[in-house]
Amino acid sequence: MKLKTKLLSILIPLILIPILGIGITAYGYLQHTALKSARSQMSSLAKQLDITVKTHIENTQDSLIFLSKNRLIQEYITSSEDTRYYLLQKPLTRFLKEHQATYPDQYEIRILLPDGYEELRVTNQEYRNHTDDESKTPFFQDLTTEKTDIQHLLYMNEDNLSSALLFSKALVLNNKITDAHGVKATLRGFLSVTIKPNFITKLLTVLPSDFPVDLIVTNQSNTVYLTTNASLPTQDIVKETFDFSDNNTEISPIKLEKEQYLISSQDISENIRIFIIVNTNALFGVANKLSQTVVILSILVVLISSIILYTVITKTIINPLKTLNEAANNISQGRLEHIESNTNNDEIGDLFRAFAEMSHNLKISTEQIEELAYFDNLTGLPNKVTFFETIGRLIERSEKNHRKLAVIFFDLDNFKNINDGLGHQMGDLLLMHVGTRIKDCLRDSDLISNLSEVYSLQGSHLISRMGGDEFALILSDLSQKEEAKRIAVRILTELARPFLLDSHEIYIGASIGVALYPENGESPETLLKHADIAMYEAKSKGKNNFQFFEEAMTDTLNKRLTLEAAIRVAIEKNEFTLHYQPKVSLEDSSRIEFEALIRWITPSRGFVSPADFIPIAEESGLILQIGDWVLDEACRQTKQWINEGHTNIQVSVNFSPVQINYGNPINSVKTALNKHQLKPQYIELEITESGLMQNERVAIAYLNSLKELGVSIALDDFGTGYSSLAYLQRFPIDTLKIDRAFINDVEHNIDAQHVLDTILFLAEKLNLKTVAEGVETESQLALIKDKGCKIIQGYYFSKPLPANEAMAFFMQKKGS
Amino acid sequence: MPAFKQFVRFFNLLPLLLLSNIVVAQESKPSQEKESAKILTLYNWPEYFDEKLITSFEAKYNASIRQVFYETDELKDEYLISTNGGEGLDIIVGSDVSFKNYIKRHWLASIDNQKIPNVKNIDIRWRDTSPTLIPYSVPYLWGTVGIAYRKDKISSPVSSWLDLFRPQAELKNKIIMIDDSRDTLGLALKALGYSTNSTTPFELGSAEKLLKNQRPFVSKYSYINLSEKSSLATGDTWMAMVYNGDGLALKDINPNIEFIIPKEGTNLWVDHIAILESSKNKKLAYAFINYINTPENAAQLASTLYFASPNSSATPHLEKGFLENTAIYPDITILNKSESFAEFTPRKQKKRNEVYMRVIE
Repeated sequence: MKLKTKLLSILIPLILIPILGIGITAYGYLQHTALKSARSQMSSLAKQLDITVKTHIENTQDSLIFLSKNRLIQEYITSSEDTRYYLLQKPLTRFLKEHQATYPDQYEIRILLPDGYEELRVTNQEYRNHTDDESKTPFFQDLTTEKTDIQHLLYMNEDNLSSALLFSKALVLNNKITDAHGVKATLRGFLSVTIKPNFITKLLTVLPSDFPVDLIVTNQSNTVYLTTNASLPTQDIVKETFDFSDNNTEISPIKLEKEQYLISSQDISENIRIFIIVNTNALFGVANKLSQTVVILSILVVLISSIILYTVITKTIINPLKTLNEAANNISQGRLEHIESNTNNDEIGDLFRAFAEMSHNLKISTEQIEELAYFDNLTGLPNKVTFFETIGRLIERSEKNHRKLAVIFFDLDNFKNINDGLGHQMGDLLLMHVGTRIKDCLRDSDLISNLSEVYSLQGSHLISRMGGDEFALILSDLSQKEEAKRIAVRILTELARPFLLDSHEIYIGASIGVALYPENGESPETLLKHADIAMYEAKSKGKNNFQFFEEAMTDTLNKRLTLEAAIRVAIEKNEFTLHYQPKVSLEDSSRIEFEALIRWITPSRGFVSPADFIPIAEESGLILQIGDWVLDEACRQTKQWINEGHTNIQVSVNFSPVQINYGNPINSVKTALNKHQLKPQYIELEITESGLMQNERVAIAYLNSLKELGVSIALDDFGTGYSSLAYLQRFPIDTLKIDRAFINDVEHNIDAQHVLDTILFLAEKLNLKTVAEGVETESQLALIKDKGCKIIQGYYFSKPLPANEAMAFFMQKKGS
Repeated sequence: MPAFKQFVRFFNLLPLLLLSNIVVAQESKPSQEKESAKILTLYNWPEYFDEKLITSFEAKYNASIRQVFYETDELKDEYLISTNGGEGLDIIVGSDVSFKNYIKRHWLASIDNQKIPNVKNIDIRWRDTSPTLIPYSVPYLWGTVGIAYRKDKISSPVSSWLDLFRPQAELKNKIIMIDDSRDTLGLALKALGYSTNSTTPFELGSAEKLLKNQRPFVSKYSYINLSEKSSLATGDTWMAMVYNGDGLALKDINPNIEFIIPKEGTNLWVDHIAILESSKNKKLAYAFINYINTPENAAQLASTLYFASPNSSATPHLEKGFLENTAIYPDITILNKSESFAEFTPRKQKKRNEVYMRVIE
């Protein structure tokens, strides 16, 4: 049973029982009262009938006496026929008509002869007289008894087929003209007046209409002449009443044909008897009506109270419970709608408020969870999930609005250096600041920045942190490309400003790629990929710039990817070889120095220039493996040469900045030396100036570690780039390799000679070895030698050669 | 039969009853003195006597004639009944039929013809119509019944009793009938081709039906006013059953009124004059009846009232135009078809009364 049904099944009987109790008591009381009042009404009706009917009879009798004394009537009845009909009929008829007009209930006034001949008839009713001879009719036979008094009797009027009450007076007269004195008066005829006995029953109309009384009028021999209710079993009632009781005035209950009656009878006159009948069942009409009313009332009460209770229960208990139930269901299915708080002060209201609070808290925590899922914890920016969640919908909207959409993708240049060098905490701090600055760049625009805006897509721009130091922006609702450009420039500008973190002043930059919808792609993945490609293009263009995606970039990328794949294959298949370019010492002729240079000859492409594949290897990180291989191979060869007896030897290996920034240079070097049990003084690491400048502190730290290992360090390509002389002091460098550009210019450019002089002077003062690269001619050599540079490398002596040939160069030189 | 004026029944009856008492009171005392014989009371229809004759009689006999009028035969009978046969009255004029009943009730005095020598002037034919009346009364005037109508209002010619009893639709409520079963019922029977004296239930039933169907056309059952104010003269009534002399009188009043005796025949009636048994002035009464039956006086009475005289000695004194007027002296063809009133057995009379009363009530 449901709660509703339970409550109703308790409450409804509580309401119903008192109503029914009152109803039943009142029913009994009403029945009793009805019987009592019926008896008293019957008695009073009997009295009334007695008076009224007797009065009527007397009045009619008086009227008849008055008529019988009328001279015209007397004249008429004593006259001969011809006098009657020729002289008296019309005046008498007219007189009686006038009398009848005064007493219309005397509807038939007749003069009858002693033999029953109907002498004169005056009636105010429309019916035909069947016969003039009434001698055979029952009423006349009753009249012929010798009585001079007025008689009255009930009879059936055959002419109009209705009951009639006849009053008749025998006219016993002398004929004034012919009869002598003392002649006995003789019976001349009868004067009769007929009235309808309905006046008896009409009495009932003055009674209250709900009193179910009926009358039966009979004569002394119980022939029924009149009844107010034709459906009554009149004969039975009359018979029963007389069988039952002799005392007529007694009110006696009689049962006939399943009906209960109260009956009394009374003799009004010698010829009129009246029965008063009350149908007890009908009498209880009031009581029955009450019981009906009670039943109807009960039904109504049940209905109404059911409806009211139902409504109230539903409203105050069931609905809140349902709402709570629904809310609970919703919560269980993860839908956290706001629950309308119930203002009731009852327990349900409390429950509601508690539930609402619970739901509210749950909602907050769920929102927090969602925030976590959709937002980057560190920067508070939307994350990659949000990015993909949003971009599709923004694309749809832009398509619908015929607007452009740009995906701006970038990462921070040199972020790894900062992370490694200053620690992750600093890195995180930096990312937070970067996030803030990017937000500032887009402060004026319509930014999607919280969860509800994500859900409702309220806003047109989105900044998301895609992971690490990568950020992506979606700029939708753009009318032209330039708007994306403007924002990219703003980001570049913002990020170029130094960050002051924990008293460190940090410079970073960003390479930005921009892809546009719909020109550069229509799916989120394509757009992101193309923005990424454009970003790489920017990086390859020297970082700290932005590039719009172009189809050609894909080709470049594809080439690069192909090459990258080939490099991987090359690493696996060991397609690389090292060539060694001799570095000739002008002071020590026994000294053997080489720069190990990587050579790649593939079966499909043939010779591939390091200038082509090294940058790719650097970008892809493959340089780490290649670098390790180069170190390893160079160490093996050097060891071999040492083992062959060439102990005054040093081999320099190019060390990519990537190896310093992203690899584990100390470990790599250590591994290679240990593997070939080579002493570190035989190996020199050549590091380009630009590679060190990106993150000075980190670079110095690494260089010091390497130096501690025992390897010497050369600064490669010195004189290009920033060529900060301050580095020379700060970095733990052993050797300066002067860039070939100086050597090329030195013969014809005085300024170049001055710079070269300064470098050499400085190197001497700092006690650094100097190596001149790219020396190709005799004159160049002479000039450099003259300036005081001690070690020469270049085609003038030898190009890079395979190991055995390179060693052969020195052997041959020694030999010559 | 006489020409009468329409009196309201009540006003008529009341002075009459009063009068009778006065008359009786007056009579009782002077009857002992011889002088009292000078007042003679005549009971008659209104305007059914010639005033000149009264004046001349009064002068000649040093008597005073007081006239008392009755409106209908019925009222006359009632009055006589209520006054025990007309106490206080001396002379009565009435229909032969009614007189027969009066004789039975001993209300009329028998006439000594020696005292009325002019009785010899009465045409034997009229004397012998009612042999029972000969010892009691003298014929007064005779006549017929016809239809008076407005020839300017009624489109179709009127020639038959059916024009009256089964009238055109336009006559609705425009007819006045005589309140008398002998005339109205009798002539309805005549209209249907039966005898005016029929007593067969079927014929009476047919006549009753005819009369009942006529009722909507009848504005009243009464005798029409004969003065200049007569509704027939004013046009409120278009057709009426009248006695022939009255029809001619109405014609004089308004030339648009025509009078005819229908082709089916009509009632022939005779009025008589008699002396009441209760009269205390019988001697003067004989003189009066004798006086009006001199040839000149009889002619004057007839020509004044437009009725035919039963007095044959009057004929030489009547104008030719009067004698040739078929409305007064009908054609032999009409006379042959006409009937006098028969005497019925009482119960047959009762039946006819009942039929008639059913119609007019």
